[in-house]
Amino acid sequence: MAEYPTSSEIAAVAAEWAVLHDAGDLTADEQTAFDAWIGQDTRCLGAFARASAILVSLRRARVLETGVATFDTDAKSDDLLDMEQPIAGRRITRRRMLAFACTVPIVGAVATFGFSKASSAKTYTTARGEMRTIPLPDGSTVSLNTDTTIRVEGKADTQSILLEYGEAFFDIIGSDGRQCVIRAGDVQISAKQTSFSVRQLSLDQPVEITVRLGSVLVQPATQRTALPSAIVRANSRAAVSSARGIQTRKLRPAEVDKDLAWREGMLAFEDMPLAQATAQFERYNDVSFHLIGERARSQTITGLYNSRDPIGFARMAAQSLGLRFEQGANGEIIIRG
Amino acid sequence: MAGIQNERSAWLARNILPYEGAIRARIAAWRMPKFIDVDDIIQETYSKMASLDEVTHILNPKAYFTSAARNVFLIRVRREKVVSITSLFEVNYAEFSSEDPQPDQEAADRQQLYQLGRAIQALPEPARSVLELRVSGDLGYRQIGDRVGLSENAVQKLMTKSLKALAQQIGRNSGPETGADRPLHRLRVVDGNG
Repeated sequence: MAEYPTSSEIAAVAAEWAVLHDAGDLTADEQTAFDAWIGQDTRCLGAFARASAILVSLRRARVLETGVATFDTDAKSDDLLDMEQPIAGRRITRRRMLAFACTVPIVGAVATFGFSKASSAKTYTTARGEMRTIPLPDGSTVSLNTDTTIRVEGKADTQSILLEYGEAFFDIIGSDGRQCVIRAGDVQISAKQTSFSVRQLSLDQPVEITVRLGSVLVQPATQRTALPSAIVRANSRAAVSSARGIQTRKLRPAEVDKDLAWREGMLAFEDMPLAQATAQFERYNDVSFHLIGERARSQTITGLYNSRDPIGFARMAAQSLGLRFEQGANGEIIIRG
Repeated sequence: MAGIQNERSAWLARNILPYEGAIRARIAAWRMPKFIDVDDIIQETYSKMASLDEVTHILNPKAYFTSAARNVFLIRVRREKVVSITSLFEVNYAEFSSEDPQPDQEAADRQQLYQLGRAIQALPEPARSVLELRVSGDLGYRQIGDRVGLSENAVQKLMTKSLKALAQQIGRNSGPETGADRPLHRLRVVDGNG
């Protein structure tokens, strides 16, 4: 490079280095040359970071365009350990579910699906109102919503993730060629280059999958599970359960974004009954709502709200719906109508 | 060992690249002295973002990047020491507020991906096939070469050329020309115009 290179000269060299890194491991000589180049100017690392980021974006753009990824349909039940299903119909709280998991007889020291004996699996948990983003080795990310627990393990050809409870958003890049396999209850989801969310708030409700980009393959998690297999494509939501199979609904992109508003700390409601909306707020906050009166329970609310401000929401909702709002002696939020 | 982890590249791709156009437009409006180049600032700011220990806590990446760019800009201005006081005051500090409303992340991201998709389609052959094979499959560079009848080296050169062209296009569809090829001028004399 010249004495004082222009930014486009630096960008040109950065592109070469980004492609070299993409092609494989650098030789010792190449690494030395790279380190030396980075040290020459404060702009070099930035230009390289930008070029590398563009390569990632190209991968995602490609998926968006074709909407299809290829799936390895052989990676399935052999790895999976049956998990006895508790009695359906009872609302299983998260604590009860985890306690249950510990009492299931464990065969061959494998606690849950796909995890190896000498388990390098890691567990991640968010508290109520907390959100966390977990990076995976290939650059993919998993974003945990409030009150969520996942278990993550990487193996040679698969990245395994168990959603024990809650809601998570997956941005899978698959830059190392591995497939990502997620399990939630009875459902197994395979993904390669795709963005989607998975939600399971109780074992007696369906697993909900919302696909934003790319597509995912939904399969039964065990041989005993009565479930079909299906591909769920971008801009659609699937509700999956043994009882009802896979029910898919197409969404407008704006509806998909609304579903994912939690990632930006918001909750988006469109004609949602107040009882359901307040239940949402109870996921993110340590509060309890009491809706008193027929109008309070059945009126619907629309809008975008800060998920961490249940009192603000209650006040606004009461005002717009002509209801009365007050706070009880123990901090409960009461809405009457 | 310098370099960049996959996670950071992915984070930048998701959280900064979609806003580059808007960020450039904002920087260009800062009425900079002639010797400061927008692209230099952008590159240095990317360096800072790449060097951070943690980024997952950043709630508003676009505002964060813009603030960091402002700091890079101010440090450069101070370092040059040749800008008259007046022109410094002329810089509109109200521009620096990070009171931006939360940007619509999903929409910006989706829009950029569509643009990139179109840009890929506009590439000439065999560059386009090479790039598509690389980013959508698991083929290595040599395998791609076998498939299209080129050496591994030729494949790499094509990828580099495509990446350079695409890197030029990102963030530059909107906003004024930044004159990226202009070498930095070092003024020896105080320039009353700033």
